[in-house]
Amino acid sequence: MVKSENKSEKAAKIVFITAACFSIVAVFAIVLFIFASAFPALQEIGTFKFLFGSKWFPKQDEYGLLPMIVATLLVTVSALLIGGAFGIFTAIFVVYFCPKKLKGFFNQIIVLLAGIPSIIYGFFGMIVLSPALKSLFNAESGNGLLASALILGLMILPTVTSLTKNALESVPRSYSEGSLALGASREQTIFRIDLPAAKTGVLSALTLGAGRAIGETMAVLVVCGNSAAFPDGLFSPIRPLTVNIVNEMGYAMGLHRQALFATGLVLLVFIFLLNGFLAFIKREKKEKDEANRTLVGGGAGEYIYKVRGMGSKILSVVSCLIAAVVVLVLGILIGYILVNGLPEISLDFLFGKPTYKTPTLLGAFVSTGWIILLSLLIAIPLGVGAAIFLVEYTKPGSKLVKVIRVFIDTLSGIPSIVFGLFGMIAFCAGGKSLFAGALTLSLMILPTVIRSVEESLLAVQNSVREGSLALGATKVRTIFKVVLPSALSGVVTAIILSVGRIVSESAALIFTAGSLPMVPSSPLDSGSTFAVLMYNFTAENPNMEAAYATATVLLMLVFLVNLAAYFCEKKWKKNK
Amino acid sequence: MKMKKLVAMVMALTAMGSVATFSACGDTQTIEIAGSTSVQPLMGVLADAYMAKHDDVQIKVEGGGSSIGVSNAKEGKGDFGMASKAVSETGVTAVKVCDDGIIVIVNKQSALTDVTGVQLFDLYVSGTALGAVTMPVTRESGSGTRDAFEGLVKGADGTKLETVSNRAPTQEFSSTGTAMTYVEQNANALGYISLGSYDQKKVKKLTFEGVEATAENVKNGSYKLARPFNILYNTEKSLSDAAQGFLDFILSKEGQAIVAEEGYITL
Repeated sequence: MVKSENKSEKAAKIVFITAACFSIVAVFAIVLFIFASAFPALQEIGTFKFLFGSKWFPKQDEYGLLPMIVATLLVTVSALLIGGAFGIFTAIFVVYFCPKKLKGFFNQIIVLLAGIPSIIYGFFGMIVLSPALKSLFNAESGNGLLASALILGLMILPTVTSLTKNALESVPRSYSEGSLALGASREQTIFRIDLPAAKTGVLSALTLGAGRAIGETMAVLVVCGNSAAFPDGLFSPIRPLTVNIVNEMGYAMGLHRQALFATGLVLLVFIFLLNGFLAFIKREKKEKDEANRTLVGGGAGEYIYKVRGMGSKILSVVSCLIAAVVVLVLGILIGYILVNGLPEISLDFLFGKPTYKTPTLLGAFVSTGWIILLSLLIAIPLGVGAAIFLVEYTKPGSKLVKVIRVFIDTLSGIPSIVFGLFGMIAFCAGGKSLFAGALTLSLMILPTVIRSVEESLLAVQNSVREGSLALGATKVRTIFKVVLPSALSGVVTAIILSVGRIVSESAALIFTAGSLPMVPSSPLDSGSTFAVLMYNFTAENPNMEAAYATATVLLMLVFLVNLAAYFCEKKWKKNK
Repeated sequence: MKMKKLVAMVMALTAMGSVATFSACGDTQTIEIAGSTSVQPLMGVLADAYMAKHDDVQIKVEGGGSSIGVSNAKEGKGDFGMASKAVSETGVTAVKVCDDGIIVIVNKQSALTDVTGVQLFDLYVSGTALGAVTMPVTRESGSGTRDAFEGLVKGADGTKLETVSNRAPTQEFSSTGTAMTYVEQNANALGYISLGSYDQKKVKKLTFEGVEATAENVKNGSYKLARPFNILYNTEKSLSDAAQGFLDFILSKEGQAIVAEEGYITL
């Protein structure tokens, strides 16, 4: 009896370890597959010539990536300047200046901005932003560097804001109390004490923002101008790396195709560099924190007397203004789509039988449903297993946990277009299908699942575990009967977050699940989700009315997901 | 308790899904078509018409591009490939469905009415302005429409546009829709699209070297910017009954009537 129990305990542990190590396997598989598909191109073209060649002309087998690399770097830096500044100031506003009643509203605004699908940002850029820029600056074209940077800036704003907000909120209160006690004004305290103290958090917020900007595809695709030349002005057309892949993959054969995979490889290298930087600043921070512990009362006080108050005052006004601009932009975006889209929605458009000539959303309902169901069926057990291993079976600070965590972070930073490339070679041998799309997406949502389940497991008090064990329950029994049920909130949150991510994804699905606008009869058929269908309405079967209507439905889904998340959070919080 | 409910729900959903899967598997025959995104809209309408008449046939029309159409046919993947250019690949049988004109489009406000090949060449290569038009709009490399356009447009010395890799800055789009939207919004833009996709509410089409892009002028050869739409299949592979039926339908009077209705040029 005892022996068999031991066996099942061991078996369970092995299952959990396997689930936890899956992220490592996934990262290696992605890198290996992409590298293997890119290698022949690097060999034939020559790595140096590929990276530093300045002409991209596949027709004559010229593959120089430098203009795209420059474009990606330029657009990322500009997006960081815009989105970073706006994001940090918005965070400062929310933490320090926002009236208490509005705080919840602003938090929801940020969540909403983060949840809007990139395809909608791109559509907004194409229809509203680009023409506006053109007439405002009397430029040759509204599309180009500035338009892309603005759209990307808007997209990374929520990431920067929420992480900066967290960093500011975790600055010890004694810092600001000390500053205020020394006679500094509130504004001086915020900008001279709190913000510098939250430096590491802000820096990692910007790094994650940069990662998102580098990897974004569908939103830039329609506003970048897409010319593979070196940019020479704010309005010159650019082609970032991601756009190079999505634009030409459909057609590419042989060397051209391999060169596009090599483009994906370069993208991956950029992302890994950013991840490395992130790990570096986090470690720095840890060392500093430890050093600070012995050195109570730093030199910050010296500065205070030299500071004139005006600068900080102005900055605080700026932060209020910027927060207002963010709300305004979100309002315009949502308003514009709803005003144009709501009148186009009809019962027939939603649920009618689709034909190629008059498409409906019925197929998207079924396809999106299948992809959500299948990817959750894969990712939830894996993610829960991994989280259980990380929380229940390891000691804090163990090497294995550190390694696993690095890989989970890496997986979550990989751009969706790269997941798309991977899915295309790994899962699409039998053609594109909803199943292949779901497999790809399950990898993308896995880090989110692990993280939120992990958090809720950590919130379960140890006394609960000890009680169960003391009553004679085995460890596995304790986990499944006692710990996991009280951590259900994490699983539910994971499901909600995953649904949000799946609904808004497009780049990875175009390569794996296809874009057939019909109702799939099984998950082995290809089909298009709402986001992919919306892309098709702006692209090959131009149908602006349908595009607006689909965008409206997409926005509604995002609202619903956010609402569900909001109420769940409220409910669990109350229970505790 | 809650966990059990959740698990039960998931299982029920899965069961429902698989039942739906198997019940849908009846005896429908599927025809898979992929390839040129220019041919795709027409093929979709043809498929709609055919499926309306034949309940037991399901036709899947996907894009991908002409090169996908050719390579699928060559490898025997799916039933048909589509290509918006002439195809002379060994092992691939190409059946011409119709002809298509490529039209040069400008913003509705533009004063331009006609354009010559040399003017187009100079605009795309060196950015030579055409009146108020300064911004050439092009398609992504590999697009069948772009291939055909650049093969037909020649410079003063007879150089084909497709052989020139040094270009003026362009706005490049990966679809007819986005290219047309751009021209619609920008008074200084000029682009090219398939005649069948022309929407006179959005953009204005130009005559090419004095000839208007009409079905008749394409048919008699006086409008030079034209290319064939082909349906492709593997020469070695015998077509399924359903596929043969659909091909016959396209070439029939009824099918060709749809072709004409959609703005393409019948055989």
